[in-house]
Amino acid sequence: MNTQIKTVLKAKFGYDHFRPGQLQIIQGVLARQNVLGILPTGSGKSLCYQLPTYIQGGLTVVVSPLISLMQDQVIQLNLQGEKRVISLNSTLNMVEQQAILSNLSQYLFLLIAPETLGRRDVLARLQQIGVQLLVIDEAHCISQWGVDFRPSYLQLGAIRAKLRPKSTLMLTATATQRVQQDILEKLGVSATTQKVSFSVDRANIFLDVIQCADDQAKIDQLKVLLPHLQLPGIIYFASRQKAQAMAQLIQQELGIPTAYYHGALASKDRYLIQQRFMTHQLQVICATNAFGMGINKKDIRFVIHYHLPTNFESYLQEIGRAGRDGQQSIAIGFNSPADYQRQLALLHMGLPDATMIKLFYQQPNKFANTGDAAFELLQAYQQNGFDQGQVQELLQHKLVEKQQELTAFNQFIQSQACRRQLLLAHFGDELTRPHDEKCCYQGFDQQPLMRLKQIGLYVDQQSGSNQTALGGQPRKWPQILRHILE
Amino acid sequence: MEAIDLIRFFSDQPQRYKAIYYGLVGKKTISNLLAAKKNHYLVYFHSWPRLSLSTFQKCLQALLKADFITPGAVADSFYLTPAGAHYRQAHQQAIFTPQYYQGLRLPQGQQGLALLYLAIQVISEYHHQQKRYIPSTTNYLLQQRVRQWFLQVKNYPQLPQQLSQELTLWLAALPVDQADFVAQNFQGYQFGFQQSELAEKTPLSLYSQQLVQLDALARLLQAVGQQPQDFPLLSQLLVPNQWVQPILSYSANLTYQAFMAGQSLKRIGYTRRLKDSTIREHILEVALLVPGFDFKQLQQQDDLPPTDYFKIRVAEIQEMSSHEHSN
Repeated sequence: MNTQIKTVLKAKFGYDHFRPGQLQIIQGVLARQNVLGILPTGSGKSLCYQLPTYIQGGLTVVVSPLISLMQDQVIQLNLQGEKRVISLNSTLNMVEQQAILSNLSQYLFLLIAPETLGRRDVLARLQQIGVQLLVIDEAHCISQWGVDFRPSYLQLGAIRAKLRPKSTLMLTATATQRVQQDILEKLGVSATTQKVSFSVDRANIFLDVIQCADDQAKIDQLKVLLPHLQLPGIIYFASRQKAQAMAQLIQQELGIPTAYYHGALASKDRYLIQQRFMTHQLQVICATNAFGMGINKKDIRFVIHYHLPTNFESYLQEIGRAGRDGQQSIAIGFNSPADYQRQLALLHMGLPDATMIKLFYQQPNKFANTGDAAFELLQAYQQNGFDQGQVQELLQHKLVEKQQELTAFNQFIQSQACRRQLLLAHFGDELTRPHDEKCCYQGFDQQPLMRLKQIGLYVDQQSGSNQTALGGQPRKWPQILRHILE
Repeated sequence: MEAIDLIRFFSDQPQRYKAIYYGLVGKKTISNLLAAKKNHYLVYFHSWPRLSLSTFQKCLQALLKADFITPGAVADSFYLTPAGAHYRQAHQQAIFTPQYYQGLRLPQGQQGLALLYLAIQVISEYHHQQKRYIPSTTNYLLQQRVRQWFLQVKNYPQLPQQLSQELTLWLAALPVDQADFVAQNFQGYQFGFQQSELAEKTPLSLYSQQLVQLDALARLLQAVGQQPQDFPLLSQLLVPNQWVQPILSYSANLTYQAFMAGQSLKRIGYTRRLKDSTIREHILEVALLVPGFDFKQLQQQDDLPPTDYFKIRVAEIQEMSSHEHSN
């Protein structure tokens, strides 16, 4: 069996070796066991269900909480050359959904939201075809003790019992003991489950933080760093406008092929940018957090946080996009005194307040189809049997939790000690190697270029970056035809 | 929606704004069709099916605020001010006027384009032996259609060259600027422009950019319909009958056939088991949309109890038609 696993690893994914934890999970799945995989972001979680699917055949159903996550998984598989993947979600009309259901046996991977999976027609069709492997992605969403609790995940226990998959794989990047227990209980798999967990440490990513007086200082810092940073990389922003403006500045002033990426882009543009980034036509992406989930580009050398996130989970997830090839990479955070207020404001976004909750519970139908995230969340709670008091308590708890997380995260940013140790401690991990010059910078780094030299990511000047790959694309129709079809 | 996209539909004659909106999204009622014909935007009927009323109204408010339009005597009607006319003149470059496209005939035009572009992408990537790419559309039914087509044509000798030849035949028949812009919207092996990159190089508004492509598609469908032998690949992908609709609705067309066969309106209603009002609606639709409709014949065959509404509408349409003929 192990030889076959390795052959598929090489043939389908191009790797010679597994990352820690992957093989154990795959063996468990192939032995038809239920597995809870707690693996750090960027450790190749999706490979853990993709590889066994190629070996055992049959349909793998992947439950995902967000449409964007599903689409990212589809894109990732498309970019691996796999076309037998489909996402069934609410963006499709009923004709399309029915067509997908009737042709379901042609597919290897079905990405689906818990609400859709619970539909009678969908369940009936899946029962008819038979589910080989049920994957619960972001499994921590099932626990009401976690910050990402999604009420619709609570249905998954009953759905799983009806589907009777050959095995169930629960995947999460982060779960405390209490959340782990909750996942197993709610899915009804406690007795036979194998747990595989691995350190969240990404040893090849240097952690750096630069203190900037204000916004202009951040821009200046980018102009100093980018000409000497090994490419490609991602720069994260909290606002779409800023991402857009900075992409233009980098492209025009530094001549580095750069694009911006955020949730308001047309889907054609989003796919085009992802594809160009994957094929090295773009070297830098200025993005909001809409970019990256599921993006599996292995050679990203840096992640810069122009605006830092509000918690450890997002930070870990976003820096985790660097260095997936195992090569030295760097995560640089820009911190400025004004950032804390902005982060505080972000905490309240998408969370309904007490008045909203009261209004909603008085007349739930009045708020149907508003498209407002806060009301959609309330609807999900109500549909899963939560009363007004419970929701109020849960959301209050959630807000307090978020505030505590921000405080802890800020202490991490301001710290003069080893940041890696603090990061690992937050996730209940221990640093297994001593702090050294490739670990992190303690305090605020005042000589970041020196740091790049120290860890081998310094380049003298970006070579050939003035020639943007995109500028070279033809504009006349006869040349375009020649370019794409000859 | 840019200012120019709405201004182009106003004139010095007052018009009800809702008729423009419903015309663009394709709500086919006699009064909307009549307004569209009267104000010369019938071609654009159904050309913006996903336009939301709030976006439209926001644009309308902006035009009002800028004094480009002003309210007419009839409620909810507006007409162009001299400033609006000046703006329109100054931004003429942003407007595209289709030569082949008619929204009523090509109601699924956007999907037709997405289908064509995906097919081009698939052949391009296949030709370059590239399996790792993101399809240009996520529409499941279109993906399935292209998949079936690809299986049919996969073994065609010199597939990419043949497709290139067919695309050449099509694009060479278009004005150069239009052909260039359409081709810039293709996606293929290491090729594709983002919306913002396309916008940088063209004076056209986003809506007009869509019209440029829809017009080109209409031209392609016409060519494929007339000379299918010249398009062995594309004629299997874009079957004209599946995309180009008759201008009349199915039921109105049956009424029209019976009318042309000499049946009186009463007789048609009796045979087709339809109410008088439905037959009148059908006749109005025919009179509006079929060029050269014979109003004398209508007088001879109309034996339904007279109504003011019908009489006025027929007179309006006849008046418009006589102008068309004299022009």
